[in-house]
Amino acid sequence: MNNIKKAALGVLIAGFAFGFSAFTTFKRANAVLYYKVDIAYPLPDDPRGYYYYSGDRCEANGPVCSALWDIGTNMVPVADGTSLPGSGRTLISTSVSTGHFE
Amino acid sequence: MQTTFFNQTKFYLSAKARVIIVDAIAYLILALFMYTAASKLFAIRSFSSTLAKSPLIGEYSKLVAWGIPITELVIGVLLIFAPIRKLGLYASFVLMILFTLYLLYMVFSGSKLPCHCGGVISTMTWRHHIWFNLGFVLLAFTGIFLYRK
Repeated sequence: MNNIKKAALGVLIAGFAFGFSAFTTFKRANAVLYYKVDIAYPLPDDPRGYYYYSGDRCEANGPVCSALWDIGTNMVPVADGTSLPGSGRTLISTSVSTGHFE
Repeated sequence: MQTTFFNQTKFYLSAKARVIIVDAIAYLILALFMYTAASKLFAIRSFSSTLAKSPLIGEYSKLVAWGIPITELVIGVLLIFAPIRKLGLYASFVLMILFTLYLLYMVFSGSKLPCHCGGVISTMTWRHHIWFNLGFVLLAFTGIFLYRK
């Protein structure tokens, strides 16, 4: 393979990887990070116990600290302590992170 | 006899095989850097606020948040073009070592480990991340080694 073909293949791979990443990131446009504050509900897919807080509030050790939830057409929370909307939200299961709320 | 044994078992790669392996390694690292650069750039605020929690980065979080993905993009460009690919392999080797040292420091210093948000790779634990990075350090080293031969 000559250098031009190699460069073309490289551009193709780079574009594909960049585009795929951008696509998966944009799919999360309505995703908001909620923290599992109330550990009386320890299951990550249980919407109870999740509250919005700005910034990074996780500390090490614990079954679940935070997860991204797609809140659809619900209002994006701005105030700390806002609970997860009662309906129209879906857990992005791959986003659950371990640890515990500070 | 011992010499004969080692001569017979010496690992041999043809020049063509070496070129193919180096190309494959370069494309793999290129894909990784493009993927991670995009995931950082499209969630730059989240990435910056995560870095701000790091004791090593702290107040330089914005600079580092922009600097890392831009560096990854530049290295990606170096890896695309064959005449400058060697430079790209050296740069990716150094960058992956820096990432790994940072992860090792964070894990073993007892610092609070901030959430790492953005991209599929971010679902790994910090320790998994270290092994993943070491794999790419080894890949980059192999690429450099074969290129030099």
